[in-house]
Amino acid sequence: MTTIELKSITKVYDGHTVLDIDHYKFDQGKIYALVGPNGSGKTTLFRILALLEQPTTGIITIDGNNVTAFDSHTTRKKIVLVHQEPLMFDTSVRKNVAMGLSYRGVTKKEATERIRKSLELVGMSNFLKRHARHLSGGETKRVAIARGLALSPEIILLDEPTANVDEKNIAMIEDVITSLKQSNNTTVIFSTHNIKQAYHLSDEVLTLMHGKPRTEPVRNFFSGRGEMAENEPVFNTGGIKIKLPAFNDQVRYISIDPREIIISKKRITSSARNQFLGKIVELKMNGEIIGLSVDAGEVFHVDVTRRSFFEMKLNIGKQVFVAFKASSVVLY
Amino acid sequence: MDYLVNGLKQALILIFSFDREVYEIVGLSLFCSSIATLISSIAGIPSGYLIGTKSFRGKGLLVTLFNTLMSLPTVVVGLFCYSFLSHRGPLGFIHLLFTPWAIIIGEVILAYPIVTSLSISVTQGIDPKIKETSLTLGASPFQSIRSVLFEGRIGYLATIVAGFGRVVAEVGAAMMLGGNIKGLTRTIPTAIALETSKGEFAFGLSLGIILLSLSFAVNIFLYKLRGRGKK
Repeated sequence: MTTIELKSITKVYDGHTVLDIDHYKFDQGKIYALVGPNGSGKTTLFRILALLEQPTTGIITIDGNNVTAFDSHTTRKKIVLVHQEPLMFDTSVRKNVAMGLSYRGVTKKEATERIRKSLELVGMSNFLKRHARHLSGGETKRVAIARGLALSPEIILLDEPTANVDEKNIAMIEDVITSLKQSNNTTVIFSTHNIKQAYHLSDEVLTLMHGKPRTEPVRNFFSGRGEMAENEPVFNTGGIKIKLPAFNDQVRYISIDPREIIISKKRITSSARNQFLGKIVELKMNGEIIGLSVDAGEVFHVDVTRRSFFEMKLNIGKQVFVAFKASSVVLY
Repeated sequence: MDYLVNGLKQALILIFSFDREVYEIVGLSLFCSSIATLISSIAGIPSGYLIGTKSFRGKGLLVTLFNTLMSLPTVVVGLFCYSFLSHRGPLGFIHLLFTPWAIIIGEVILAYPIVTSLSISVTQGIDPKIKETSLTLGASPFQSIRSVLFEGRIGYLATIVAGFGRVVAEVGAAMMLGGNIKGLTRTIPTAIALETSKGEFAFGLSLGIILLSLSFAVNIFLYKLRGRGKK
């Protein structure tokens, strides 16, 4: 059993804490998805897990043994990190995949077999002799994954394996992640901005917000793109345009914490730049908190207290305004 | 014009008749330059790699120093080494002055800063992710350095060629440290200087053609390698 445990891990850059995980355990053979907005600490966590960086405080254990970035490379051989933008060595696809195997002293015969199998798994068998620097972005990611898989690591870390990849390649990479679970006991930890993909592929989702794990799932998660509308930066979900604090054309997903949303029966004058008229379509009683689903072009999940709910005489079918600040929108 | 044409004719005769003296000089030149380039490269490329990858106090100053030493005047190097190797100098007891090894010492001093300085630039131009990628694939520290050197192989090769180019054509240090002794320390450039001053224009010209051909061959070799590297 290969289990990685993080205990009281923090990482501080220039006095700024970018990662703060009290305790987290990755069990062998499971698939973990790491989600969170840009700058939430995903890549830092990957670098620490890959033993490329030492945390400022705390310890990492593999099967109960403390490991550090200063350990010999034999410890690092258990873990493979596939970067978000993988770099290919200036040689053929075959030699790229063979590189890690040569570091491990794998025999030529076995290496040939492992290269063949791993490239076959990612659908890149025909690219064996191609120069690795002449591949497209999606092909490069697939070869980088094959390069990692050929090593049969105990843990494989995939930093946004489907970012900036076309639909066809996304489907293929998703299949590879799923197949890993069936074929061997590799622990897979991958990061993604796509919450649906995270829940679909993984056994467990770890959400990071400002470097800290969040226990509750991300809600009010919308996909779309950032653009300018009437001289204002917005996020266009296709259904509605949500106002953002600043223009960002890189953003593909956003989320809004249900606790940041205000419900009102009339349009209110406030600092909330976003206000949408919608209809309550679902109610969920949860003790003193009542979860409302409001369809306002997109379905918003809002938490209100039982008292507010009854005082405002809310019910399914009632029209309400949902309001929230542009600064409450978390960008991914 | 006849003077030039006749000189060229005689030069070609000397080359293709495999004149013993001409080829002795070429052999010695190649020997000294190759050994000096080899030593400079063995020392210079690791120095360049270390300076290029490490951060330390005074790094900028060191880089500037190496850049300055690239244009070290050959006669100054000759003079400096002469003062050490002459019988009255501190290293006079090893009796190296006026031997090919004295030339090699001078040439190493000339080529080492070039190889080092250019290697620093080559190393700094290599994506740091190369080293990191090899580490994530389980490379040992040595293997990760090897992957960086592989990435910059064409650049490092060019630094070696530049070092070779510097020493194969230099006159000052070879003249002062070798003494231009016939059959012992006469290199192509010193021979050209001497033969031309003696009026042996054809002999000088033949050596000049060989020197140019050597440079051309080395550059063709580098060009071919570059082409292969890009494939």
